[in-house]
Amino acid sequence: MNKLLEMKNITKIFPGVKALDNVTLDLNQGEVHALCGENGAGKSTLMKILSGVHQASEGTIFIEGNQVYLNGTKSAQELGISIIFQEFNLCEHLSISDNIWLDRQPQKFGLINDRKMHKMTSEILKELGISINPKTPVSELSVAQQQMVEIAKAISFDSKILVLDEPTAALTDSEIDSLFEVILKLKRKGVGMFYISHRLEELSRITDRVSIIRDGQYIATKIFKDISIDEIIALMVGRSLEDKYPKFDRIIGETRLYVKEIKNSKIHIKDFEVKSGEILALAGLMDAGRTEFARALFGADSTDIKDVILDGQSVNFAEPEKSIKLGLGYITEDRKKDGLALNMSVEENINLANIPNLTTKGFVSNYKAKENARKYIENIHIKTPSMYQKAGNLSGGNQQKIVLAKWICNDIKVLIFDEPTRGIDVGAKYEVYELMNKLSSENVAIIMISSELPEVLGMSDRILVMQGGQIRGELETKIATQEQILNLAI
Amino acid sequence: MDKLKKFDFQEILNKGLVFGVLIGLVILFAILTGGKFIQPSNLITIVSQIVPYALLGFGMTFILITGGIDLSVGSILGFGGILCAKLIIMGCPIWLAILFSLIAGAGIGFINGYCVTKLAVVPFIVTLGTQFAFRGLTQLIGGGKPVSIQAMEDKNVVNAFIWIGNGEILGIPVPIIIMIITGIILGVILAKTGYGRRIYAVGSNEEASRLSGINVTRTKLIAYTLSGLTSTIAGILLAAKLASAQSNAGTGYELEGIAAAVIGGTSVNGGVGTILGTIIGAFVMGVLRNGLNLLKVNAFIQMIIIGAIIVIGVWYDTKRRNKIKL
Repeated sequence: MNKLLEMKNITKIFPGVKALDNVTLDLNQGEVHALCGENGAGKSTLMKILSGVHQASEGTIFIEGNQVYLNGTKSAQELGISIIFQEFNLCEHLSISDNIWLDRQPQKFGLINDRKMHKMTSEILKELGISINPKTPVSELSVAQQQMVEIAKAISFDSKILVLDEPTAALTDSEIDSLFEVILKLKRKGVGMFYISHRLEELSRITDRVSIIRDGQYIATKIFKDISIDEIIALMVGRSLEDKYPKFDRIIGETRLYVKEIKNSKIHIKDFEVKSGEILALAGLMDAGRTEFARALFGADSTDIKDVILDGQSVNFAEPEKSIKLGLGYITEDRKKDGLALNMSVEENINLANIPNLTTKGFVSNYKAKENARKYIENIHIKTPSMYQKAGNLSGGNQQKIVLAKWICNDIKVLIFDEPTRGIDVGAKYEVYELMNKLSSENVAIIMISSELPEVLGMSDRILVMQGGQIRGELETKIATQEQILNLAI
Repeated sequence: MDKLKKFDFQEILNKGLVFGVLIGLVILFAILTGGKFIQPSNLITIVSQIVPYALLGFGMTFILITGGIDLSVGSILGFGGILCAKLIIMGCPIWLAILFSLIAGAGIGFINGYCVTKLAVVPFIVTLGTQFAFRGLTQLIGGGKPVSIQAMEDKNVVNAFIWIGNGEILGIPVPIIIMIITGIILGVILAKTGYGRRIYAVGSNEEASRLSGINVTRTKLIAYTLSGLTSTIAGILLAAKLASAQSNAGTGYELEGIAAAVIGGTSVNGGVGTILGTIIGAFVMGVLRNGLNLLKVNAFIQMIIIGAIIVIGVWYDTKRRNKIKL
């Protein structure tokens, strides 16, 4: 196989932090090369160097044997390197074509030749096996389709090297299937791809080789077939995790929350219950209505019918403010969007849902606020230089722990976890699971929305599968299989 | 936790920078004017001049932190002054006239808040509209003419009202005392109370705040109401100073209030700002104006300088904020 790319002895020093230390990596033509490592290990930094966003402090990069200097994203693009970030860089109000050919639209007499542009787009989309009208505004596309637009854009640059950063994080299973088909097509075309994902299970379907990075250092590169997922995890964390899911015997008690009926334009749920000390998983595809159910229950969205009983008493979760007072908490799916105030401090975020408990006669007790923050930073091991650090500066796993602390410090009876471990690394995942177990031992009833089936099977006691805004079936976790869940979900 | 001090130092440095600029300006003008600038009488003049801007800036700071803006404060200032003067002319006791004006001013701020929260119209548009509407209301109350207290027969009332705008306690003009007290109260509310925390939280991430049980609607409503209140205080003080309420008083002042807050480090994107910063910001503007006047710098050039300072201030603020990776 032809060697497409070599990154040799790459070191990157940010003020005060050595993000990468002497990392060497290569990529072959037509290869999918997975990059594994915990959050903050340096994967993203490495890929940002490859795409010209950052410049390496030391080290050299060769493309097809020639040394190259990447001093900006433009120079990387010209060399055929494209990166697709987790957050897309698309102009929502513009059409697919306009996005793909942004700033280099085909022209005729100094004006944009729309017809030609749409035709060029159609050809690329056809090549990818996608049938969408190129004139469609990006805002009307699903997340998966937007991602395809990003890939189409990369192809339009004739990219030889493509970096995919967590491409499946927001996709449903069927969408993942079509993404993988596209990846396999690109592979046959000879495109080399770096693939970053926390979902190790899915790697086996596309990956040729896997490299592991830990704490900014290169650990190993292996042929994917020759290594097991457990071995990869062991290399990532530098210790062997006996099990991805901590063993725990939960003691399940009385019903805590009973939803007789809840209904709005998106969902209709009847006879839903979760018991004290139980972890109930809500499985289903992306648009099954699980988050919508959580938001409706929590009072974040309006409902037409809502009949809920908490600890034997009829309650009115009209507003988040009210629900929290009554003992319901909701950890949102997207912590950056609606879980954290990123430019506020760790302390302020931990106490965000706790302000009433810190105030006497309207005044916040600084002492109480700091004590509370310190307690949780220590208890659940939030890694931060200080409680005054801005939440936006921490890694995903630590951010998720802040969100957890926010709810644990309230006297919560029922807690909804919406994708509790999305985008966080294996080590932090384990800690989140342990916290869930600890909460359940304190008689908290937990509703866990998760799109990762191993997580559903590994952590829950009972599984409800949703589809089209309704509950399609119930499974006992002990005897459930991934196939059974999927059959109900589709 | 050893990095804690370092981080705090950074914060102090950021705030200190604007303060440093202020001190630098004072020293500069002192030298350039041969000491005229730092004579006590001139310093008192400066502070007296910034009173209305600082008061508008206080309320503006609250609103900017929530992520909003209030373009109607100048009109509310005019409204507060004219309503108070009109009530006094009509024979209402001064204290009652003031109390009633304050309530009305707060109520008018509440209308802004109501439109922003319940009707979900963006603050810029709401307050652009109410800027016109409240000015119209002011003109309507005043009948398009100034309402003069001076012309009243009862000189006791006249003198009492004038005292509010021109009197002194221990050598310090009353308006300055009122500004300082208002500033301290609002500063404490912002820095030390649960409401203060909520206001920063709402400005930082509104949805996360709502889902954390913070009543976003109430938080914003209070901010707009407070802004109405501080604007009215400014309006009454201005009317008392001149012994006459002008129906066009405060026109364009909203920009002074925004400028004071922004120079003082308040972010127009929400989540960031302090009352102390706003006071310093108002001082920077006042000192610049006064100093440049003493140096007989052309008024048009003054505007150019102040404009440049606003842009540089925000540029610096943005640069500082971009250091946070989101």
